[in-house]
Amino acid sequence: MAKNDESASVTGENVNDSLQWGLTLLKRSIHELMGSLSAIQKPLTESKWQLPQATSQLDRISEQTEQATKQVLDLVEKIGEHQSDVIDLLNQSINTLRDTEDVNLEVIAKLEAAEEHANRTQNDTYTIMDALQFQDITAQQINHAASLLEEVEGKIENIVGQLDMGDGEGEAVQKQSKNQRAFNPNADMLVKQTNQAGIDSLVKSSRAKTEE
Amino acid sequence: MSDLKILAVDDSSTMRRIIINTLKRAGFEDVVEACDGKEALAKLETEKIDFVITDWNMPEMDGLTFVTNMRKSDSHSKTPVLMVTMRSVKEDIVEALKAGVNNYIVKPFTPDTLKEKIDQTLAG
Repeated sequence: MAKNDESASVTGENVNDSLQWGLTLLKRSIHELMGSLSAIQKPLTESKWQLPQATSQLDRISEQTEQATKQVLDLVEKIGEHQSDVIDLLNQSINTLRDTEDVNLEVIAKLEAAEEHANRTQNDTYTIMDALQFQDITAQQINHAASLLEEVEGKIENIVGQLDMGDGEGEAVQKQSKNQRAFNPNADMLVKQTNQAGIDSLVKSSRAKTEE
Repeated sequence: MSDLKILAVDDSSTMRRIIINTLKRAGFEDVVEACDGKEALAKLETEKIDFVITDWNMPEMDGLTFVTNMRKSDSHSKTPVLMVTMRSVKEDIVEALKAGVNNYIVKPFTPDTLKEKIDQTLAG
């Protein structure tokens, strides 16, 4: 009987020792975890403030590019109109000269050449105008980037909230109202996944199905 | 010069200006604008629109929802619609055609393509 009591007591001591060791390890792990959480608190809090700034900056780029594009469009339209006036005047001059008695063919030829130049300049202004479509495309790309940043911002806010990592200067974060963003995530100036011929083929088969 | 009244729908004011300018050069002088699907539906109620050119990705109401709603109305169930958008994935094009879009152009477009597709849509 005594031997049983002794072995039971030894086993009990072992269990206690194991428990204590386990608790010590647990305490150590918790301590380390708290240390890690403290270490990430500052960068997380900084990110929480920096991300909205990055999003604002992207929106500013978009707005300013739009403004600059509008200015270019204004000028291009004016140049186009002036060129139309020049072409009209040249045309009238050529017709007037042709109606005169002493037709100066050399002058007429020069005026016709000038008219051709004016037409080419006008066409070039239209080409510039068409190229300004880039602004819509880049605005969508910027919107996409801003949207991704806002997503990350939201996730960080969740983490900060769940870990109760207030910055100590008031939990109320002034959230900038998020713009409703409309964009194509695949917007690209150069790459089209389906070319116009492919699109035309799809339109044709869709029409054929409707007519059946 | 055409007497067709066209509604140009795009959230980008730059894009609307370019489209309107291109239409004027092609002989389409009577053009009305809207900045999203919601405004476009309102314009359809108050103006006699013969042809619609619309973008897809727009806030408030996108182009696809606009066309779907437009097709439900008695007065505009058959009005020709040309979609002018950045979306070039085949599935998107098929979806647009199923929603009632008659023709489709991917940005950036050329003036010749725009004119060609308008003529093609009207003829079709």
